[in-house]
Amino acid sequence: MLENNKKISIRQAALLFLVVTFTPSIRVIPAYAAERAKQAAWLSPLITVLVFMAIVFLWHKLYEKYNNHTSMDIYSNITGRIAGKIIAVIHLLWLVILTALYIRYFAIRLVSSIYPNVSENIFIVSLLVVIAYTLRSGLIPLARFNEVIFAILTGTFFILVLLALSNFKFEFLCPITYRDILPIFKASGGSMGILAYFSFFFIIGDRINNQESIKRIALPLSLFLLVFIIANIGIAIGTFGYSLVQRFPLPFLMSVKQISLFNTLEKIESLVIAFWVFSDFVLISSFIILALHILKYLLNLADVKPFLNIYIVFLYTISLIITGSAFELQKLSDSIIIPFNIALGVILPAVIFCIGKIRKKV
Amino acid sequence: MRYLFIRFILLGIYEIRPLIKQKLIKEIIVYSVLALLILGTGYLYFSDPYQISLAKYLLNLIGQDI
Repeated sequence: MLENNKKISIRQAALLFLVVTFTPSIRVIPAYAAERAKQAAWLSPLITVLVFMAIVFLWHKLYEKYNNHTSMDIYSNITGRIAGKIIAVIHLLWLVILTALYIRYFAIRLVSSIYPNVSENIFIVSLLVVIAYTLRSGLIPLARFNEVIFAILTGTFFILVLLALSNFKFEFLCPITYRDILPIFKASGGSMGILAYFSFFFIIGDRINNQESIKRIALPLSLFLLVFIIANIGIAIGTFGYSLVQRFPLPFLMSVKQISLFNTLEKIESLVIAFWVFSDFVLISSFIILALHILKYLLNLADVKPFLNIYIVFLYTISLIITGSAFELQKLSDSIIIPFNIALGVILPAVIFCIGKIRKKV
Repeated sequence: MRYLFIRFILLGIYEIRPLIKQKLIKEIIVYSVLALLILGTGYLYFSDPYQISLAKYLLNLIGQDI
């Protein structure tokens, strides 16, 4: 039983994080890694997961001291009130941009993959209406719904990977030499930029139970991510080779399109689309909750429920002006989103931890 | 833009009423700021839907051209 029925467990928070990483991982990681590390790209998750484990342990250490606090409280306590508020504002602005970006990606992906002649607006408005309706019930129903979604997504993903193995060529993943070490480090940036969302979830740290047991989930979470990202990159490069993967907008979808079992089981890419819709729903809903939580923290608001609809309408208008094309979105992801995610989700907690150690606050 | 504006006014009236009743001044200000931001971004988009791009501005900011 949970200690407080307004809170979610650390396990539910971890599952939310995993589902949030599904879509961006499938979209960004294979092409980003293939472009930088070529055939050795599938080894890049090893670096990422090591850094990720360090971040998990860092949060564990922080929560040993600051139990039941949000990450914004922790930053504010360690760096001082003004610096803490500035960090919170940066997080809020960043979450607005990220959410608008993912809303737009959601629509562009559906239009470019299976609904070429449909207006993007239809998908954006339908998704946002469902999210506005769902989030009226708050975080807990979302976390419970996500537990079901996680099982379905994971099962579907690994079944697709197994089926895609029929087109897999191991020679596309070789040769690996010592010269690949530096490119592998560079390639790990893509996956690190997405796993950085782990730190974002502590924005609702006061709504998560048993933060002290973060350490316990570190190993299973890291192993899952390692297998998931290696499978994600490996299956794309093993099917097409790195030179094609780095040019594909959606390499995993292309690999799934190649699946043909005894000439009877074909065209199962619709499963991937369903996969994306669920994952995007959880991702956008979670980011809306995080942003409203920061707003509550910044302005000492009693309740943020009255702002839910208006904030969603605001995200809708931002998603309209964020880009004119899918190409711009891709460029924005690679050049700005990934580096800034790393800065906020990996570097900032590490710096805050060091400051806390120096000021003897951790 | 006209339809967005009408729907938006209706939503605003529906949602801001309980805030006014409870005299939650801070909440009313936040709500109004968000509303103004929506009108601003909505106007920017609908006045020139195919030209406006936040991504382009952000990329220009770091010296990258599309």
